[in-house]
Amino acid sequence: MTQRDEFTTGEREVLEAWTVPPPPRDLAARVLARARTRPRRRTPVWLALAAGLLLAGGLAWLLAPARALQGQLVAQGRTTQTIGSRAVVVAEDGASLRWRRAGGALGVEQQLGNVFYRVQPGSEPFEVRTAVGSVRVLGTCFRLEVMEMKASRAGLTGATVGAAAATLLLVTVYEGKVLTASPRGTLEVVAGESARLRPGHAPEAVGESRGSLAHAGGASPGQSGSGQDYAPTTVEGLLRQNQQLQAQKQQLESTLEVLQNQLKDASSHSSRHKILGLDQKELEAMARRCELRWDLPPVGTSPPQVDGKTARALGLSSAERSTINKVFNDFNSKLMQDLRRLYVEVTGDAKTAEGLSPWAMMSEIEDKSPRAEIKRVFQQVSRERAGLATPGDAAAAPTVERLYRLLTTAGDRVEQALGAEVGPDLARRYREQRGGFGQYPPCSR
Amino acid sequence: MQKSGPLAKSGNRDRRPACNNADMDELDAITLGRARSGDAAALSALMRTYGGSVHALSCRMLAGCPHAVVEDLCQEALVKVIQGIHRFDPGGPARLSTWVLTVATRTLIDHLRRERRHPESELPQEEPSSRHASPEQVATGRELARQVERAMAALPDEQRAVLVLRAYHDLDYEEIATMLGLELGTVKSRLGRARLALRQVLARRQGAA
Repeated sequence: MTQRDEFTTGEREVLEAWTVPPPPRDLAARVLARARTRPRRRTPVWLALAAGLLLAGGLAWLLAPARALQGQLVAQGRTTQTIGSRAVVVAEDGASLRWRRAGGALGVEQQLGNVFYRVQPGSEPFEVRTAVGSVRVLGTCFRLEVMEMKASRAGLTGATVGAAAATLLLVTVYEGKVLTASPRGTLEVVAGESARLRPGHAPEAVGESRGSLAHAGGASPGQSGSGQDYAPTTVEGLLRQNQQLQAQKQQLESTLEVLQNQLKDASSHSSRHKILGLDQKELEAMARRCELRWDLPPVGTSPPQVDGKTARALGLSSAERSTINKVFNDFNSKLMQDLRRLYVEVTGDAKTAEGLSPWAMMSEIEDKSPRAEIKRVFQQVSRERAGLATPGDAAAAPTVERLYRLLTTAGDRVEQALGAEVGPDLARRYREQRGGFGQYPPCSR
Repeated sequence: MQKSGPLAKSGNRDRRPACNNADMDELDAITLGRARSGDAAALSALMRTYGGSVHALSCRMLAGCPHAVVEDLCQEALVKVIQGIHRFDPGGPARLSTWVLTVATRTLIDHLRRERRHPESELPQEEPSSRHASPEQVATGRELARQVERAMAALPDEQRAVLVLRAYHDLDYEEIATMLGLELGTVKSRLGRARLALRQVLARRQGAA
């Protein structure tokens, strides 16, 4: 038996009986509108920036490949530099560093200054060495400040640590984590934290990630426990601090923007199916999109009853359950009558209407209505809901408009009917239980 | 009501694309190229060409689900088609119609796996046909349709998927296997089990007659 004739005549007969309703006439338009309005996964600003920087770095790599393997930089003003294939650094004025790839690892030596690093995740180690210690990363975003100190303020005896005696390293991590190490020990620093490396000491946590801020504010000794050791005392130092603060401000503003966008996206996504309790702003936004949402209690040729799960969840007594079933049945009968009337208006076929499901009738009415008319109905009704338009004469409205008015008010009518029987509180709880009567996700166009 | 797939009678609905995958007119290369570059008119043509097929697939795959859910997921599947059309390789082995159905089927199956339907779903309960179906309705096959839908809804999702793709969208076993990530033998065995359910409906019907 070939694949094509594998079904017997009887099976084909059975399969042929399983018909499906036609797609909505404006399915294509709905899908295209949904594709346009769907909240996009925005590329975070920092990612875009990083991508831009990496792209720039990639171009630099192509143009000057030798620089990626080995190089050095003494920044004259703020300078962006790509290092290897994974890192982009922004060195502030006066910062000095050099780098070299050896044995599959990229090593950076930062002699002095304030340098921001963004290192993409990768398999090869990435380490920055300074006179007082090192920082090892696997993919992160951090800033290193190597500062010259006055030996007297550092409280060091110049003979003890040589070159290290005049330096202090401040590590501030924005994303990911790094491992700081000095001859006296190691310390893991995660996003939002800072650490200080001083000659002769193990790395120390600086507290609330305010290393740079403490540093900046440290112009008045004693304000910060760490600041007094390296507070700038010259105009040049203050200017450099100012630059650092500006850079940090930009970083924080970028982070804030990313978080705000994420919040907006999350809130937009979660409210996509919201039906109940829409506020004025949401209704106006929906009106701008000509969007209607509604819920519909269970309907059908043999309507389902309150299911056991819902009854248990709401703690319904058997009497309440019966009452609710009766309300649903009454609603169902009335809705079916109304739908049949509308269907006959459109098709003139009363006999067929008796045997059709509500969904088939709705689809048929939609299908036989001009697309422009449907769009106008959505526009009008959504504007009415937002209080931006006044309702016209509903009785004289076209059939499809009466269909949508029938459907979009069904939830409220049933809640009202239920409220009269079992009390408004229970009626509302029943409706709210799944974010709308019985239909999830709720109907929306 | 719409019939689709190999079982569809041609020309029974005007303005609707045929849903038989084998006989379906594929989108022409120029329009496809424009759709892949995001041209709105071409995307609209893409939707008009394949929307009916995906809608029929959704209705059958989601048998027993509320209409609103079916419509929502049908649109969701088509949105994924739009968003992924640039990844379709016109020079590849798959026809566009098969690729579209693949995207849609995976979307629907993902949903079904996430939202395993509660036993007390909104599907009407089985009832003696004499209570709700007039002899006329039985004669027109409406009651039979309900029986088939119930039987199909009771099938495991993957079995139903295989049957629907084979019977209504005329996909080859190999295409179904690729689409669902199954072995060829698994496709055949699932189709066999689905046909068994069909035969039970048939037997009940013959018994009733």
